Amino acid sequence: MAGTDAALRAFQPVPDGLTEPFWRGAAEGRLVLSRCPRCRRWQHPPLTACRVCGVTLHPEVAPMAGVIYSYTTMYHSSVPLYDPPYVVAVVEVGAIEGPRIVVRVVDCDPDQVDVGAPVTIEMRDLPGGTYKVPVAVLTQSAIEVISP
Amino acid sequence: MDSGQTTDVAVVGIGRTAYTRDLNAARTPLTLGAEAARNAIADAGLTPADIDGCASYAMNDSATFGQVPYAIGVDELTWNLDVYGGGTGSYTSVHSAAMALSSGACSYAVVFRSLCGRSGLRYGDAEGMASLLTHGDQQFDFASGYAIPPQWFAMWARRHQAEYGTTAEDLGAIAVAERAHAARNPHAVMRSELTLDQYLQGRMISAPLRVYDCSLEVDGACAIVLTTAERARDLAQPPVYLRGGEFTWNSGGSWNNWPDFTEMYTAKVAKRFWNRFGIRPADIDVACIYDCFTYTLLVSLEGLGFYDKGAGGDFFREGRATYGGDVVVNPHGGLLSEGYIHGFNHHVEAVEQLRGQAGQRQVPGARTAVVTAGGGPYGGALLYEAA
Repeated sequence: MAGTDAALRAFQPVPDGLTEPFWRGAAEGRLVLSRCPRCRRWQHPPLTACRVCGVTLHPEVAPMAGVIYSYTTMYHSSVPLYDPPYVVAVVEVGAIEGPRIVVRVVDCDPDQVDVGAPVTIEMRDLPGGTYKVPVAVLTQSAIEVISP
Repeated sequence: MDSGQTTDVAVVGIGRTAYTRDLNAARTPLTLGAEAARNAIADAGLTPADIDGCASYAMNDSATFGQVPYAIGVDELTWNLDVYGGGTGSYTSVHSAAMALSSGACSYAVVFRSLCGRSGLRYGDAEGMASLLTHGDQQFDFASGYAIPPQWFAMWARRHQAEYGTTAEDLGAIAVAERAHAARNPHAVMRSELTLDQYLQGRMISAPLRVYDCSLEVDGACAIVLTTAERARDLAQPPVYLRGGEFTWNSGGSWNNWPDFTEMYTAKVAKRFWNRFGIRPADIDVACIYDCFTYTLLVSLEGLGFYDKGAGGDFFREGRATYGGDVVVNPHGGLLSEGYIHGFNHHVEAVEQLRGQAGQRQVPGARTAVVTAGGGPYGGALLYEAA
């Protein structure tokens, strides 16, 4: 990997009462997002209480799939975590207009990535520590559709 | 301008340092800020003893509102403001100074931005950005290697491409147009011609944004002095009136939750802005639009209604954003070619144009200028008018 441990330190999570469930879920292979028990809205990044209902939010297991809202392929050598080029996407979890998460899109050629492509979510090691971080993998059908 | 909207505040002084990428010429943000402030005060025909208000904005990368006035011999401030934040801060600091002057909280305010964006902390450096950002939401983005501004704006630009067919050539038309303007500007750091071919061959930073889509990181500072319209009448320069502005703040958590990446803050403020002054885009002579990236400029003008969604590339290619067109956009070359003074140089340019002092890049007969500040979900637009 590209960076030294010292350089990677700035990119490690800083779990607190709000964010710990996300990182613990990731370590266990699950996507855990904050959700309102009353109105069922997802809230990510997490908050203590629902912005609409005001009731306490709970961590909940979210679908391990989604749709790419947008993406960018990073070529600049600036982030020591990953060797460029790498693709970062905003994924809408579950379906279009689902809660948004930021993930790398891995195991594909950057040219295969597209807005609207369906993806599955997996957990991978975060370089520089013991955390795992969600990534997206293009679903097989999407790769077949857009491959030459 | 025949609307009933009036203002009682004017910009009476402008000042700047040289903008430079020369690492051997590096000075501190305090030194730069003090020089720009001194220049602006002298330009107004004032002395530091006259200054009793000061505002600035920064991201832990500058001198403060307190250090700069002290350094130039200001004795006492009766009003101050230090804004933490990005380009949006050029709106907040200037607009707040106008309100402070209107209320009598101070009489002469200096507002500045100073940074060593080249020799110091570069915003394109991810570890540097990690040190600037102060809230926990960033951890979700950083762990996925989503850490520097070119990535954020590329993410938004890609969505615009998918929805409206925006091309590399469309973004390139903006970079080329801004560079052509900078060629006439002795203060601009990049003045050599940029062709579309050169643009397209430029190094990819974070696709679809190439190196020429990105702000030009420089060291430098600039400043303006504002006072009430009544006091402005007796000073050294023709006053330029700040008629007011409109601002929006949204998406307090994460930019990623802004619902539509094909628009930014200007889409929120446009109707309020034009209605406030009873004018429309055709009434604007000079548009100094915040352009941290080409895409920011493309979609900011779009949001203000200068063209329809997806028509920005043609607007620039057809010469409608330059001399002889609909409006002259960033006659100084903007953040892309004059240099990245975090958008504060847009205020200086607007004032110089409305005074008729912009030399070879003077927009003939310029009477009105809009200055925008911000990117993504938040920012604002100010209207300046010649005396």
